[in-house]
Amino acid sequence: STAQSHQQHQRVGVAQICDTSAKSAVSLRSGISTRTNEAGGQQPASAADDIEAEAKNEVSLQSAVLIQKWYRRYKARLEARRQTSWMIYQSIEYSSESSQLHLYNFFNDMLRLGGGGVGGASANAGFAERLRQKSIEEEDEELLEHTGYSEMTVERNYKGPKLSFPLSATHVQLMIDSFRQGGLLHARYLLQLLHETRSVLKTRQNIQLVSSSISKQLDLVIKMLSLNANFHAPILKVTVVGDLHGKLEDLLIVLYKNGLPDVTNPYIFNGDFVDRGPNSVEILAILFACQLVWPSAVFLNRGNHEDQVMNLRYGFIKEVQYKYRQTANKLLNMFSEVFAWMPLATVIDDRVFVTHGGISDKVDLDRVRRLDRHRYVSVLRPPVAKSSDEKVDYMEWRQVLDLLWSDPKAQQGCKPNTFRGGGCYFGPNVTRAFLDKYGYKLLVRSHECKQDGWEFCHEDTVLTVFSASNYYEEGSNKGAYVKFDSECRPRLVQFVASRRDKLPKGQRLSSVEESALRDLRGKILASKSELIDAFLRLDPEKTGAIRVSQWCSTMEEKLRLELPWRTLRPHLAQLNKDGRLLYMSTFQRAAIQHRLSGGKEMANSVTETVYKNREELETIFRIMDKDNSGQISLEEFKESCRILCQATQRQMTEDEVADMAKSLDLNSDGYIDFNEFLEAFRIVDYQRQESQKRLLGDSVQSSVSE
Amino acid sequence: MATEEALPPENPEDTAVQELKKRIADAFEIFDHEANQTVDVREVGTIIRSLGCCPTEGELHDILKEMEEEEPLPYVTFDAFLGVAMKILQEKRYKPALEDQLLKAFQVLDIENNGYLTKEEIEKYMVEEGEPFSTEELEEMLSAAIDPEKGTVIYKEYVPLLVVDDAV
Repeated sequence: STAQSHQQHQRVGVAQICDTSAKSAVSLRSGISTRTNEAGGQQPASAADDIEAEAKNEVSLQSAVLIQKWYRRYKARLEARRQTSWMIYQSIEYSSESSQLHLYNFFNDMLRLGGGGVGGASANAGFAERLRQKSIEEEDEELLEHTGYSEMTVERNYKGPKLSFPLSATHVQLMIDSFRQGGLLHARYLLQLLHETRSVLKTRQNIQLVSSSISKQLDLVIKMLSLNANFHAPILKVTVVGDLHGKLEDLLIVLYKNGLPDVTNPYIFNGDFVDRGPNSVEILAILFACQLVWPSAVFLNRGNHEDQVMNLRYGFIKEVQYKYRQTANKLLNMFSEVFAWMPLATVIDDRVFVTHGGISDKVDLDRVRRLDRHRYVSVLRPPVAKSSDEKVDYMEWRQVLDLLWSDPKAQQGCKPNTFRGGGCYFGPNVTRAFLDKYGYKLLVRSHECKQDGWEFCHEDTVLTVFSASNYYEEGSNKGAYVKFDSECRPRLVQFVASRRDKLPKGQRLSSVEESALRDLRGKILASKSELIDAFLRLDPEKTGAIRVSQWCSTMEEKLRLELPWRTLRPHLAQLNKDGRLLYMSTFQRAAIQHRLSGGKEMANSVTETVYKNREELETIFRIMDKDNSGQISLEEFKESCRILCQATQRQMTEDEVADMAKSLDLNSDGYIDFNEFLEAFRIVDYQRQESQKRLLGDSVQSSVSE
Repeated sequence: MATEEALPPENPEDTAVQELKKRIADAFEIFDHEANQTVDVREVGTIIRSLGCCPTEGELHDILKEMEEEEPLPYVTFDAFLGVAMKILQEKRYKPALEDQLLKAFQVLDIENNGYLTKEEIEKYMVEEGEPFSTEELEEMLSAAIDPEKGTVIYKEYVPLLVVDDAV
């Protein structure tokens, strides 16, 4: 029976837990008898020895059980901590996306009201005009005029990959090798690549089709030409890759493990290639090059981040500006064009429907096939009306929004996705209806980070695949891709891009956890005034302490983050000896400072407002920044702050804004580099400072004494 | 969720019960991935342990039995979980051993009193005795516990690593 107990080597369900406990009861006893028999083959000399031996075995067994249950508890606590960190990352991420959409609703209102509205008749007219300009689709000739490359030359000392068109597989390999070493593709090549890509994408349907078997026609030809009458065309496996978010290493791992695309190895890349990670440009360059070299083997689906509005906030525009400076403007215009031309979905073998976000109960694929996807420069707003009598087609807009923004949920039905602010939450019945209506067997989507890189839901009718490993932080999650055989059976492959040596689990968890808590403290500090107000109201007698439950509900209400606050409390605030919570301790550990203000804390409310809404502010700056140079004038800076106040209903006085602006006018020509401005905010962690000082102090002492 | 305003003086017993309920709710929430007041039955053990209890696998099986209504389902609802968890925590069942008891447990297995256990000994005890480890559990423990130079587990150094202090 000890042999039997070997069997339980996998994660157990209830039924198997039954077996284990039954067997463990048995093995406890049998263990005793077996060991007695094994005792060197000698027979115990007397009954007393027998009893002693049995007692010893009993003790050692109990010790084993103690170690085992202790270990399992240790692991469970690590798991709970890991899940908690995960929850922090996700809720902060979604909260940010949600406020982005609220900002954009504000912009939409502004545009509708013709630039008037809240700030007064013509107060926002200038900004509104800039907004409008960023949303118009350009005609071909105009586009070529603004984004031409023929006049550009490549310097002799250029070290990056050299391309010549039409591209070949060698060029793709050159790019991969160069990017791996940190090389940068010359703007001239990149522009041509984008123009060619645009031409190819224009020929694609809104819903692309890919087949896992070489066409019957080709099959026939091969049979005819081959001497082997039983020759069968090779069956292909179609690979679907999920979100990459600028993480080049993950794309390279996939291409290395799974091979470059070609006729026998088709790929669907399911959107969100850009934003957040540092190599969005390189990823796009490789994917576009692959599409040009193997057009029948590369299928790109648009993600919600292939969107100018998202890029304003999440890093893609910043990356392009940093890498390409003067040519950034041309490049960004072309990227925007190319994004708008990306197809919305791909179907494998009429059986598997692949799209970035998901579906809704209103999705109508006939509608989707007929719409002009190119008009959606940003998916976050309906196409700008060409004339004032053209009505916005909300039903059509919904189609696109739902495909790119929705999330599956366990509850039946279909609800607006308030977490994200766009698309729907769709339940298992919605999936069922969709699949039945169109005769599909499976919905594959991405859009949500999963710890294992993949996850099935809706009784295996929906598969999420996410390919950016370590998305939140090193160690936070694996990446995965999926391969479908000719029967459309999925096979999942996981991977992790890892630079560090494998740390023991506990240590890896610490760094993920610390990073999540740091982000959370940042959010708490950003709402410091609001929170203090609320705490004071709960403590009319000014004792400095409130109930833990009051603290928890205040945090949840003001920060709007659904987190296990009670569990997190020990990391965030302290109790007095009566077990009541000292609410000011919530803010003791760290503070917001702005580097450019000489290390002193700026007037609290201003710093806080700007820090709390820095992502919105960044979006507004980028809209102001007409020529994508990363710089705006002092006046534009002040106007941006004013718009921010309107959008978030926060207050900043003219003087406060003027003071802040003046202290930041680094270039004497009256321009502000807003990237520098935003990056100069940091959270000073006093506790870490102290412990670092102590460490340094010790090491100084010891070196002195030596 | 409305923020509570100034409250009437609290009955200490009621508060303690409320606090306990909320602690359990928080721990449950962490594993309620779908936010629909249920958790996968396989996570129940993890949640109970994260609340500070230290049951054996056999005891866990009994806990699950208590939580299940009629027929075993792949998930457990919050209501079913709460009732049982409250009892367990109030009765202080499945209290964890103390750190030195854990150390003693290793010492017992170290029959020759070497001050360490070999990889083979650990494997034998953990996989053949008591409530056997899965291959995964064994590998994880060994990767953290084995001293890379000597290839043995110096349990005196390992035990402190297992004491997870999450300051609750």
